[in-house]
Amino acid sequence: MRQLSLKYEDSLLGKSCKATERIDIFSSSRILGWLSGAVKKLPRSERLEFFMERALEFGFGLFIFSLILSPNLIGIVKGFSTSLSLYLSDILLSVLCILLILKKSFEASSWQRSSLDIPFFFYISFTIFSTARGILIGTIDNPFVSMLYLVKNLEYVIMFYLALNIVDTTDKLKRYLFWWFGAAAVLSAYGIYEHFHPFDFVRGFYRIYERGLFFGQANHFAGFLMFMISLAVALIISLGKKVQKMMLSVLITMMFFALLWTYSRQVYFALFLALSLIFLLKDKRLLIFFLLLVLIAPIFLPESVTGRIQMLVTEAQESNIAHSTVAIRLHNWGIALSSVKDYPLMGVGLGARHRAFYDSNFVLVISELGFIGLLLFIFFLFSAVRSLVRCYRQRSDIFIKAVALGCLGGLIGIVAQGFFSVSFIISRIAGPLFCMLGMVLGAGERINEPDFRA
Amino acid sequence: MKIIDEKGRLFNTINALDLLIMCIFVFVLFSVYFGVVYPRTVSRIITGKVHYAPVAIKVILDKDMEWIYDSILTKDIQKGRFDKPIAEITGKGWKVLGDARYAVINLSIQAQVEVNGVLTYGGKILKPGEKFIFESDRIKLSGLVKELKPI
Repeated sequence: MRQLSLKYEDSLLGKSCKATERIDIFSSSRILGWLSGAVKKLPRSERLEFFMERALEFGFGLFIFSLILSPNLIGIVKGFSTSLSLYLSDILLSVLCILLILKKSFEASSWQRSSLDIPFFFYISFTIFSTARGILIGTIDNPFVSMLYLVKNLEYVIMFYLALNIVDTTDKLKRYLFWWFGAAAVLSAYGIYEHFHPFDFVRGFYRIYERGLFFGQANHFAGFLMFMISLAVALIISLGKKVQKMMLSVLITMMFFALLWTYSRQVYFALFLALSLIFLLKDKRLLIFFLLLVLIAPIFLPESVTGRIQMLVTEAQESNIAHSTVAIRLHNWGIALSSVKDYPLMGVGLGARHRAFYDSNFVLVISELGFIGLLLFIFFLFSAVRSLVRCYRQRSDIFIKAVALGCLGGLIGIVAQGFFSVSFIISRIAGPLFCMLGMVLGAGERINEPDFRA
Repeated sequence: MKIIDEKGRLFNTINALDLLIMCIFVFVLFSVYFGVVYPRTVSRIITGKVHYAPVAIKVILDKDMEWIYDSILTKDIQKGRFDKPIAEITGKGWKVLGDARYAVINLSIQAQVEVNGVLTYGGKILKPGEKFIFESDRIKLSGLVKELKPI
């Protein structure tokens, strides 16, 4: 019965798939074929394969934890003055990739395809092309830095495929979601502790995750917490068991307070949009209740939070860029967009300016990759939203539907945050996003199944 | 003819994934060549790039750090990104102000010039009275900026 139901779901997915999703770039790859052939010549044993399987499963969980909780390893060695960062997750990612290649080659199994293969291919290819052009025409004066930016982008795509290939069942999705919520709980507990035991005395409002172990990452972790709150809220309104609802309620409360104390206004806005979308798709009555709650929120929110939001009005009126984050953003965006006139189609190349200069992912993409890059970026976002909506609408499994809905809300929140920060480049936000996308599509969109082509 | 066929081949010739892997490999060689082996000195000016300016500053050593005074050596340097020197101790001495005696350290630093012309160092605005931290491989000291002068 279950088999029949899955077949029916897959045929539904198959019927609604676009031509780009039928393209298989993995099976005819010669490089993957050579790699697989070379690995097959290695000596193998059942014990080794068993160990590899376990290492991959446990390692991926550890990777999820380290993606959020690992401090900058170079920062620890050299003090926090360095802007070059290396996390434990970067090292684990390399190890996991090797293990996955070994496993796939030994089992002779095919690589999981997804509806994001073609958007990723075009976006990354164009990024390489535009950046190489920037080096040649001289808009990029430090090619090594541009290379590191490109590697960072590639890393997120690799995270996506790692998750897509490891998480292929609903059970695995549940297990790894548990790791994600575990990491979010530890992070929130740390944030709440920091709020009550601050590193410094600060007049006004003290932002957590700005000092100590996590240096200058209040907005980054706020983005991550927003994503996890979206997931947890989608699960709580979809799942039936009381114990699950209770546990998620406690977790949401912890994450909500940690998020509040980051005083990140862009993430408050992103959370509002994410939850509005989730409620709109799930139940319109919930949306009305939520909007009413937001309207009366100033009554019960801490004074420091409402004060922080009200500061936006005074900052918007301030024209001195030394005293207003709004003014400095508008000033920098003006400068960044002025170069679009000279380089409209392909931009100045990735890494031409420091990413912190932009404070907006969309301005960064227009300025560094031009309008073609922006179109390809929107194509990727559109494909991701479309795949998640399809998982939510066409799957009958309540759990997958709920996770897809939460992920969709989180994605929209990160897109909203992307107007005010480089959210698709920051590893604490983009890492979880790409990983979670891979997990949801891995479990919810089985393109490699024969029925997909039906 | 399709741009990419169902087997993932671009214009029926090369697999898209293979092409991407080759492009990445070529790009890495390309950026190492132009970044390290043959760095280009002339670049087109686009505004908003990070600029640095040499600045001479005097720092009053924190009272609780004065025990380290004898260990401070001129030519001590702090390294920044890619191990580039960003600060160097150029001298030290004692200054008497009223009844109190203060240790003053002279440094030459590479300050970052922000878009609005403000000088910053280590993410903090450089101005008299502001906290300043110097960290070399050997020592770490902290104090308050007394005065600063662009070199």
